[in-house]
Amino acid sequence: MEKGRTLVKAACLLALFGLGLFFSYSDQPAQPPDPDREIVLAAARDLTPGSKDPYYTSLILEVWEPLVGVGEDGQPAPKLARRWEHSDDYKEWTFKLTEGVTFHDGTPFNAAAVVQNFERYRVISPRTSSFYLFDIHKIYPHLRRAEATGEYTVQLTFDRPFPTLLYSMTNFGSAMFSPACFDARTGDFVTAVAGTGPFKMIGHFNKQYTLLERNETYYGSKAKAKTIRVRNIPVAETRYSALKAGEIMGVLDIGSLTPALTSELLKDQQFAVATKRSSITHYLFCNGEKAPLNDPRLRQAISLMVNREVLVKNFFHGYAIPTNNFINGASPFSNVGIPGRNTAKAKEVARSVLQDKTADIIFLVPQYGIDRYPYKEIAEFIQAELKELGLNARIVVMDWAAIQDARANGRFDIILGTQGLPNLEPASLFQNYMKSTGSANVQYRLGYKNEEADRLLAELDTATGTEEREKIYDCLQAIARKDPPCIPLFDDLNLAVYNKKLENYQPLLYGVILDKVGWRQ
Amino acid sequence: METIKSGIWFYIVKKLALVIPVWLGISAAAFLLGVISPSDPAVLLLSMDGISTPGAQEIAAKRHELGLDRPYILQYLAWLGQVLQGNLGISYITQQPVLDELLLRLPVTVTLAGISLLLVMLVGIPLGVLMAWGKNTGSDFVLRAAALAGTSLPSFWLSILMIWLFAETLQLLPTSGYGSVSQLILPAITLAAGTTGALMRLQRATLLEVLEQNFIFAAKAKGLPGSRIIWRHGLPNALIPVVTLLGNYFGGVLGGSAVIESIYSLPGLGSYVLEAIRGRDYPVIQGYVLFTGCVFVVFNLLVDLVYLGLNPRIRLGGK
Repeated sequence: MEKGRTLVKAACLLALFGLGLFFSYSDQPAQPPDPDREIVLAAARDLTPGSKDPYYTSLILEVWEPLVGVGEDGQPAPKLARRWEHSDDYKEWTFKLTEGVTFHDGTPFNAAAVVQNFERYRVISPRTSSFYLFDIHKIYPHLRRAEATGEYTVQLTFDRPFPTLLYSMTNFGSAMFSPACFDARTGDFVTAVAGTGPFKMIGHFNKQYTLLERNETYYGSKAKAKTIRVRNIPVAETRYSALKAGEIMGVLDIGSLTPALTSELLKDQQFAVATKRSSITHYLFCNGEKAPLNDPRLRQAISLMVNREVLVKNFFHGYAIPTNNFINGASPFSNVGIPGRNTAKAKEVARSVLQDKTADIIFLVPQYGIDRYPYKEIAEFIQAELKELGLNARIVVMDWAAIQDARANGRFDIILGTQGLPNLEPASLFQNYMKSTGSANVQYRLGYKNEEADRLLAELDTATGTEEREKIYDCLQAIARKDPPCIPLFDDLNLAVYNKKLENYQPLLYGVILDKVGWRQ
Repeated sequence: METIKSGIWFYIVKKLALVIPVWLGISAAAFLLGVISPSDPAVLLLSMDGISTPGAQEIAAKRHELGLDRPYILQYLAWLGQVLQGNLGISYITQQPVLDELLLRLPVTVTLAGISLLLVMLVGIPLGVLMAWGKNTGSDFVLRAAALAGTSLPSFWLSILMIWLFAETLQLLPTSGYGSVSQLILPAITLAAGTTGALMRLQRATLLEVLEQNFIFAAKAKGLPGSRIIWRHGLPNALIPVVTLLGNYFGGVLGGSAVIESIYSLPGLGSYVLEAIRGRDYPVIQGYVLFTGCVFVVFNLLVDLVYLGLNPRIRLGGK
């Protein structure tokens, strides 16, 4: 009995001691966080695919850098190439490299290293990647040779004029790695990636995290954070909970957080979001090889009918930009696409095409769009609008692979999906979608045939001046608004959602400016 | 004694011999599942960045590179030949050997499965016994309701609920990740919930059945205490169906924890195959089906061997 009492007393004392500790801890004034404390962020996918990937890590981790980057104005900007010039016929391009730069493994960055990287480009092409497929024949078409003409001068020589080379080689198009970290024969990485960026990769656990450390010998402004851990959390709801629980301080990469979860999170004063137009556009892809959507007038009627403003406001919570322009607004060659909705005209056109009858159509929705965007709600909204045009759409949700199969076999009428800009140069997108023999036109069964577009695209092959090409791009965009190869709905926004304990969490076209991110002091 | 020993060996050899045709069947099914699933891996691979739109020539070249343009039977035989040499092929997406990736992820799934199996056993069996012992009492009704809830709740919903409660609100446990024991608690509980409920109900039912047997009445008549009757005489005889359930459960967890692994960001086998299915990564899907098929076969064999220990009649071939 006595022993029991002693035990109870001891437990009470312990509890009091614990409470005292708790309150003494709570009474401490809030201390500013240690600026060198590790920052933990999260992305939906593993941003370090590893040795077989053309880039090893994503550009947004800032471990490697390209020769040509993208400036704040969306134009090509100097990075590892300090400046450049070209011959009058745009067949010879000379790049002056930034001097005094070394790769993370100590190898000097110079013209020889650039040439070795171009040799690797040839070896690996084409190499698939979850970031960007790398194919030297698409990024540097008709490249005859890359040669060092000085210690810090490289010359690229083409068989045909390439006036928009700089737009093509931005970011992933001209990634530079230490020649010591890849096998020249296979192009595979043989060690961990060694780039020139403000962060070094010091650890990676497959599908778990990538650990970055500030490059103290960086040639430019050093990164603010000492270490950043980028975790891989595939499910959006878990990323949301991890933010709320304080396990992660921000999210980045494609599909960082859905618009609905972002709005929900912002109800909590601890969080903020910064946005920037991304290079992804959402479209309705129509089957132009079978009735009724093989009639371009009906496709135009759909474009006139869809209320993009409502879609963006209600389902994307305002985190998208309505557009009817074929090319994403992030491209410097894009025209402003102001969707002109005209339901009366849309119905009239549809009536004349369908001859006052109705038609049953299959409307495919990819599962990835439901995981990442509010595609189910959007599809249901569009389904109601299509009904007003006399199109009875049956919505079918499928995984992307099954949709590709349905697309290849023509078992669909409309697909809701996305298309990203390969780089700032939109030529390949025009060629793929608007040319009669374009790969997307054929593979996706768009059935697009526009003689004027074919003529302009043939002219594009020989157009040498940037202005000349710009005019062609303008004409093609005007054609696409009247006779759309696919129906643009809205441009996506890159949502950089973060805890306010961080500062300078600013989004880019893709990712955030990682080297500027730090603890708010 | 000699007869019993030779009977056991005959039983084991018979079971092992049956594994070979089962394994061949699994390998054929694994291969067929890959090739009959819709979509072309070459197209998916060339457009996996969501940007590229490959042309017919590029697709044909990729199909040739992957060996997809050969007749199915040749593809199967080539794959089988590789498998017999311990090579499950190379992943289309990651370009890494499938076996290496499976072995890299196996410890994650085995650890998760092991912890949840332990939870199932430590919670399910005693509670099942408790339910049987207090049949139709208040505790029995409460536990039956709990068991029903455990089996009825979908694991994805339970995962979200657990994360919300223990990670987001109470901040007692991490939401996700792999590397510490605390990160495995929520996924293990989620994974164990359904089977624990089923095990409780099964344990209750089988024990109640055994408690109606004559030898139990004899034990009671001899004046043995109730707890001894249950733990010493009732439970061992009621364990055979439970062992079957646990054996199948462990095999099932190794093969079917994909949703849990995805939600809790665990880099295990389940999340690996989920990605492979999305990308129609045939070598990974085939390797995984073969691997988990073998796991099932091995576990069934182990369960059969445990039967030998639990039920002497099996040792004697039913005599």
